Amino acid sequence: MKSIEERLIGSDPSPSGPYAPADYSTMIDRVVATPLGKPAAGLRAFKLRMAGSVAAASLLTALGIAAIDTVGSSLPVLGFAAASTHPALGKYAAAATPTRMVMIPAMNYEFNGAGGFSSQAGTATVYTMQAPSDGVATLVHAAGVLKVDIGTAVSHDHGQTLTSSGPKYSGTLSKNSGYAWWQISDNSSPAASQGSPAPVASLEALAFSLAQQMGSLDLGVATVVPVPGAPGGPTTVTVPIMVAGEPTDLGYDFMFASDGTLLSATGEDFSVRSSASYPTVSPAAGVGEITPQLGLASISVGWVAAGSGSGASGSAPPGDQVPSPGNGHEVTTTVPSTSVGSAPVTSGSPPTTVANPTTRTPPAGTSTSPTTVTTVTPTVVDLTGVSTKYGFFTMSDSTSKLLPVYVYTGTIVDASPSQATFQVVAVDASYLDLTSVQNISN
Amino acid sequence: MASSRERRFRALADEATPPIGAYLRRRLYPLSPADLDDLVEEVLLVAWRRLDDIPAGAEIPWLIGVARNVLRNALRKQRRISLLQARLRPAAPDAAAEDYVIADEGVREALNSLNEDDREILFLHFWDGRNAGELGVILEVSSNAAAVRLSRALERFRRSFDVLAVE
Repeated sequence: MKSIEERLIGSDPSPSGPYAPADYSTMIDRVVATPLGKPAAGLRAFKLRMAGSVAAASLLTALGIAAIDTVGSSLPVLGFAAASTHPALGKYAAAATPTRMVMIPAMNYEFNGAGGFSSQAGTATVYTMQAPSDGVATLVHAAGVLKVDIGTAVSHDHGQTLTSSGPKYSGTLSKNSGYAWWQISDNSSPAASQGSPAPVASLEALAFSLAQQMGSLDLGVATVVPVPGAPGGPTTVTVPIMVAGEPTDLGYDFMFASDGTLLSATGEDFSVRSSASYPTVSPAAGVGEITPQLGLASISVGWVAAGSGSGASGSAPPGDQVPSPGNGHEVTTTVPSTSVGSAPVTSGSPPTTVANPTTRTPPAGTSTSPTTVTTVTPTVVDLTGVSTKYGFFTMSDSTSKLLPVYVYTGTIVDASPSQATFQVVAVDASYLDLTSVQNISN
Repeated sequence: MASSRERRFRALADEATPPIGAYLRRRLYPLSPADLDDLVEEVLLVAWRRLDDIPAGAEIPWLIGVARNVLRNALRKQRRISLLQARLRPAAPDAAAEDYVIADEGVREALNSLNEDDREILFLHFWDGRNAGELGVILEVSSNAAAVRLSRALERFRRSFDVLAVE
């Protein structure tokens, strides 16, 4: 019997045989004969702003990570892959359906509360992630921990993907830069499970125990999240992986039926090695980095509506994306896959306002004219707490790294206040190259 | 003599054209080969103009991301393009509709019950063979977020598939 994955692969409607244009040679000749033309005005403006020392640093990091002499050290500058906001794709997204965009709108935030946070800077280790060399071993080990039979793994895509199918459970593994992601799922319907409901605490303990057996890395506190749906439906327990005592964006998810039967488990398998110790900004100073780092796309906003009158609210599920109408009053949510909740370490801050860029050009999708300048009504955010974690980032040299991150929590001051979190890479800005994640219209 | 830029582009085009064409062909059907070639050329034109912006090591997913946007525009203009091209060139024989239809009825119904985002990430992974890292580039999210979205889409697909199978 074919697994779900195999049936999906088998449902590919594409006619057999590779695609080949009728006259490929002519097509290519026509393309290369096209004048390259001048860059768009928005891009020109961006390049002009990059003049001087910043541009020099940018050039040094064109290949990803390059050593520069900054504040008396030779630490490599950390360049980010353009995964969060991609200038080229943003350009084309401008003409596309707005609800499919993945852009961070230019939002004129004013952050209150920085004065309540610690002003002590420090240092933190940056870690480089390493994927396991043997994906089959990872999958087999996971199945062994879960005590399920997933059959024999079959390699696809030159070993980048593995699938397997057993009598009751099937498995899949995908290799990525820096880690492997795996999933083992029950082939049967979740609704078929019957029996007495399992106590949540026991699911929590079971998930933690399973996660412990998966690998030798430290684990954080398990978080139980009922899967939306009918009462008595499945429950997901997330167990974050800790590095150096800090939670990370990576971890394990276990989905149990109401009777405690395992429905599915997913997780990341990786090892880390210490890259270097970097100077970090203080939590208070980090507030000033929120806006420059918006392109890193770690805003999590329950709901924002500046006078829209819309009353709906609700947090975006982790990993999901809320479409971005991009009207300057609404915010794209691009949340890390695993929201790791940590208790705020500081609260009750005085109303200190952190300076913020006051005027932005509209984001791609709101206007095709890069010369139009729109003043966005300031959106005030009262920050009430900050916690730390290691965030997962894909770098411009295609490595995956864990970087120290401040997670600010606060309230968007509005007619209908909503909770929000903003994340900032805590590494001193002089060691960060944000070029690839900046919106060209910024 | 071709410039180094042109040589670089030609090498990239040789590598990227089949997967780009396959991506577009899977999503637009029935589509005449000429229309498909037009869309592929549009993607390659972007590649030519933005060659220096294409992330090393992620060229194909980056171009599939461009193809997604080209595809959206094409879908919006599909009717107008069809009318125009009907006058410009003789109609090319389309592939038989049966070639394109998803034969597995259970899979088709379960897919139809999903939203477009879920379908797209499943297709990108299971049809186009893109791993989580590449999905991250295409969808402009982190690899990890892409992996979780894929996982959830698969979970929703599985549930829908099971429910429909029971019915």
